[in-house]
Amino acid sequence: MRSRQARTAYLLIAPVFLLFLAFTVYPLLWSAQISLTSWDGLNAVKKFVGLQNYSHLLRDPEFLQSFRVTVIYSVSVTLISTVLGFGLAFLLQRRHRSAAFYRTVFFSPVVTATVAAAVVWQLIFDPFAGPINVGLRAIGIAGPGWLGDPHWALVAVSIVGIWKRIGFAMVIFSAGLSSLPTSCFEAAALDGATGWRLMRYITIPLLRPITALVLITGLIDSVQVFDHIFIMTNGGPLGSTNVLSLYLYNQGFKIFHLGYASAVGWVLFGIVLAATIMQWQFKKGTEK
Amino acid sequence: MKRLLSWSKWLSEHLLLIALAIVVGLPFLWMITTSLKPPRLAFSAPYLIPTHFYWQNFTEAWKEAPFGRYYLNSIIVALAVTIGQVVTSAIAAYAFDRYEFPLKRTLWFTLLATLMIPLPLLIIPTYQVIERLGWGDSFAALIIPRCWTAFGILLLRQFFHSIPRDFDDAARIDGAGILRVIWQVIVPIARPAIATLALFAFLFAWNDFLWPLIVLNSPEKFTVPLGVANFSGKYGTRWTLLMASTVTATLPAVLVFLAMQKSLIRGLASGGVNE
Repeated sequence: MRSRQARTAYLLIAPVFLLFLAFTVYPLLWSAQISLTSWDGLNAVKKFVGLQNYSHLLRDPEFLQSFRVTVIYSVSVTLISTVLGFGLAFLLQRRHRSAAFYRTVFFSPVVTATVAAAVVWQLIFDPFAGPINVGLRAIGIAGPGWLGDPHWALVAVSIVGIWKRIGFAMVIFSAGLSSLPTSCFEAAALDGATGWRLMRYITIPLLRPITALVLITGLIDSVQVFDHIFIMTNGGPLGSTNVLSLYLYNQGFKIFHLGYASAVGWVLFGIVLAATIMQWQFKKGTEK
Repeated sequence: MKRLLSWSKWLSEHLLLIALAIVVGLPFLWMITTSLKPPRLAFSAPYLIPTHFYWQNFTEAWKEAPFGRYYLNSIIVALAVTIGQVVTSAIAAYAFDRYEFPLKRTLWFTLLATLMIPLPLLIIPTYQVIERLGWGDSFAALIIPRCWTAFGILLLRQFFHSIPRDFDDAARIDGAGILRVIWQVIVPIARPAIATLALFAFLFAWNDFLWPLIVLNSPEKFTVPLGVANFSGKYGTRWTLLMASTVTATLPAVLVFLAMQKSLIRGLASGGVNE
């Protein structure tokens, strides 16, 4: 009976595990192996070079630049979208009639095809026809070249990243706020706490696990950013928006340094792994 | 005095919200307005609310690129991925919830660990697998590797767990097989969770860009995002035409979202709070 049960269970999970083996486990092993070679995708011989790709990364100015750009992008997008998302969730709390409308507006960017949004943002950041610079000109300020300016391009693509993420943070925080026990607030109110103090000493501490979740998932998502940057700047100008995914794409699919590109992929994995471990540690900390 | 204070608080909060809504909504407004502008007004004084309705931008955009074809391709791929994910996730989630079997915990945590794998890491080796299978430049490459999701199994398992086993037993006594129990008893009860999963799968597949960019070569197989990227590369700064193409591309996903936003947001929220 038990073995028949097990057989049924294995049959039910078989489709998932077959796909998982073929399109995740096998590719991962293959990628780990290829990252130790100098393979170009064509040569029949995959020359083993040990950890040379990884040590080369540390001396490759283009990679180091890309790493820096990715860190700046991810940290700023994650932090700003989290703060704004929390603010919106807070403002929309207990607001019944208009909340649905605002929520729809703020969430729409999350479901919009990134590629299409990127094309629209290209127009918005257009130095001549775009509404931002037209508006700035109207009040007598000469706006920057945005996507064509190495100092502003990263700011511009980060704004798009934030725009896409606020809604997600807002929804998670909204759910978090409505799940908080009202008794804490009543007790604090009895003690005379109001407004800002209530927020500072009750709401924010109670929301810590959810804040951690929003921050970590934000980091994991944004270190992998590709779509809108590929469309808007393709990494330029002067590599100022050349995030890791773009660097990997160009190394792997444009100049076919497959071994090297795979090593870049494992660096990304390292970052995501570190973020996940941080979250586990945090969860353990709060559960104690 | 107190009333005045609360009224001014109400007003300032609403002003803030309206201002933020305009900033976040600006790209949408600007996209729609520009898509309806006659080309001769494209570079003259800008206006935010559409006053001209020059529908020819749409007919021209659709003539310059086969958006109908892109739609069809995207619908085929997104629907196939959605059905695939719902089916594989439902049966796997059922097995993980209702059965005990050797290695269950190990397999479960292995699946969850995949949530950590960055997509860019997988694209190079997965592309090699696709090439070896002879699936380059095909829908199979877009659909089959995407037909499972750890997120979906997690979501459905949580929901299935709340369904009493008496329901299964009653159906089993009536002679129903496992698959019939899943499809006719469990899935209908779990409809909210299934809807959330289906919505995520559909939106993700519809908006996906990097993987189709690598897999597809033939323009007649392009999905909507690839079509838009290609179109924007070709028509550089003809903004009126470009915006007509982006309206075309965003409309279906936004409509799906508006129709189903409750289950989407509820799904996201429950996932977040239960973590």
